[in-house]
Amino acid sequence: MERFRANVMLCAGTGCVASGTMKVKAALQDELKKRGLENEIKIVLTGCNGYCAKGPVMSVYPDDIFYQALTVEEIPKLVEEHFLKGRPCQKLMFKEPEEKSPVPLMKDIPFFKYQVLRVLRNKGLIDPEKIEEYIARDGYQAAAKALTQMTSQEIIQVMKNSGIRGRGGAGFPTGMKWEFCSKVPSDVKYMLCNGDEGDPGAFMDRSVMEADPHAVIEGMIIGAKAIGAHNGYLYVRAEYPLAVKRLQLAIGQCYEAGLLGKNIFDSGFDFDLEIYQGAGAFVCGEETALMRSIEGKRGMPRPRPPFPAHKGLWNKPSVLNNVETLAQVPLIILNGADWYKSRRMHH
Amino acid sequence: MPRLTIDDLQKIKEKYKAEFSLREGGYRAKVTVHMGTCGIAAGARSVMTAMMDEIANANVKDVIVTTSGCAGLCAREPMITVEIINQAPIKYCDLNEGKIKEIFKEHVIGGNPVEKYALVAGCETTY
Ligand SMILES: Cc1cc2nc3c(=O)[nH]c(=O)nc-3n(C[C@H](O)[C@H](O)[C@H](O)COP(=O)(O)O)c2cc1C
Ligand code: FES
Repeated sequence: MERFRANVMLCAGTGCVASGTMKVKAALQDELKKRGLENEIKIVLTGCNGYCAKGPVMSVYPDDIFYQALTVEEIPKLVEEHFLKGRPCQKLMFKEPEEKSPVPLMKDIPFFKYQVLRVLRNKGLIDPEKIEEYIARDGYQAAAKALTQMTSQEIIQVMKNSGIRGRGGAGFPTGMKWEFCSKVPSDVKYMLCNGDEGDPGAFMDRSVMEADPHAVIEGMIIGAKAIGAHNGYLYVRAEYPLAVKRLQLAIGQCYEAGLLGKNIFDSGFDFDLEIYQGAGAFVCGEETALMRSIEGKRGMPRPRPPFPAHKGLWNKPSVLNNVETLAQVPLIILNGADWYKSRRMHH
Repeated sequence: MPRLTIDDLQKIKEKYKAEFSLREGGYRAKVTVHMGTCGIAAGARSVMTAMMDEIANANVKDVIVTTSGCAGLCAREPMITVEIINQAPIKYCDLNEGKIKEIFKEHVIGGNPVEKYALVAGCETTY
């Protein structure tokens, strides 16, 4: 494998792409080449870092230097000073509004300093379009464990003990939801993910889908095993083209690697997953409306009961979970219920 | 990509270890090549390449290489600083590719500073 001495993690979330990431990337590539540094410094495109207002942003490792508001014009100087001569460029660093002196290191910037990343554990650290980078951060270890070492009941028990509640808004205990559905006998069941994110101005689910699509897929595989589903849909609004693109890529990689489809990890468990693009109606984020929308009907809620655990998509037992809920599932399976409980907020 | 087994997950993780120790910071040793104008003129680029080659050939995954500016002793360039984490950093001067091989083997890998090429113990921050 090639060796690079530095990795430049250039943000390619929706916000930064809109403010010019691709132009900056091209300029960086040109300039690195001009300086003969293209085999020493590697550019990696990442998902959103939550700092879109100052985009495009990037962090440079191993130095941990954070740059913001990058422009094509600054790139030649940046490459010469920082990447060749090792003198990070102060002009592009974060500054507190009232202070003159810059804060060079990402870990010293107040916005990042106090963050403990769990759902977003891989944001900015991996290339979301490469399954190997997700695997390098323990990706699919939890799915392997759930599929080859745990029964459905054991998975559900861990989820219940962890105390995790759904992040879609209602805060329903995820373990209980899975248990209801697992107890309904049926050949056909569905594991569904809610990536509709209709709340105006919200972008947490988009951030996860763009920055770490495999985490959501892994959560769905584990959920599918728990409830006994062999088919799934990821419902994402069409207004999230980058999320759709990265999830689509990720699903393709999973099929190639045998992490979706038949006999995953030789466990005998099959799971097929596809994306369904919603047209972007707020109400389609509601679970019964979402299921009707996948059925090709007008997205209208219907009264419950019957609950989706009994009669969901195409009247088959179904579980719908939010993106953020699912992205935590691998962590809970790997680290255990007590680990999660020790970190959760008290209700 | 062929179908993955559980063992393959571990193999992939191992393969990416060098790259992720850059990003996550879990490295054991850091080599800083001084790349001021003086350093570059004296041959710091080939010293850098020599160090990168040693690391790649030995397939070592917990050593990182960075650059920094002029250390204020232009007459003794090319210079590098080798820092084994939790030990005093050592500055080496008047380097060439042959000396790099030795320093890599003895100090970076072996943990024993090569005194005959060493200038001082100590280091400045890079920002
Ligand atoms: C009008 C309405 C809109 C909703 N929109 C969303 C949404 O955009 N994303 C989401 O995850 N949940 C949304 N929900 C909640 C879902 O119905 C459902 O409870 C949730 O997706 C279940 O996931 P969880 O158990 O992981 O929280 C909405 C609910 C209502 C009533
Ligand atoms: S898209 Fe770059 S910080 Fe949000």
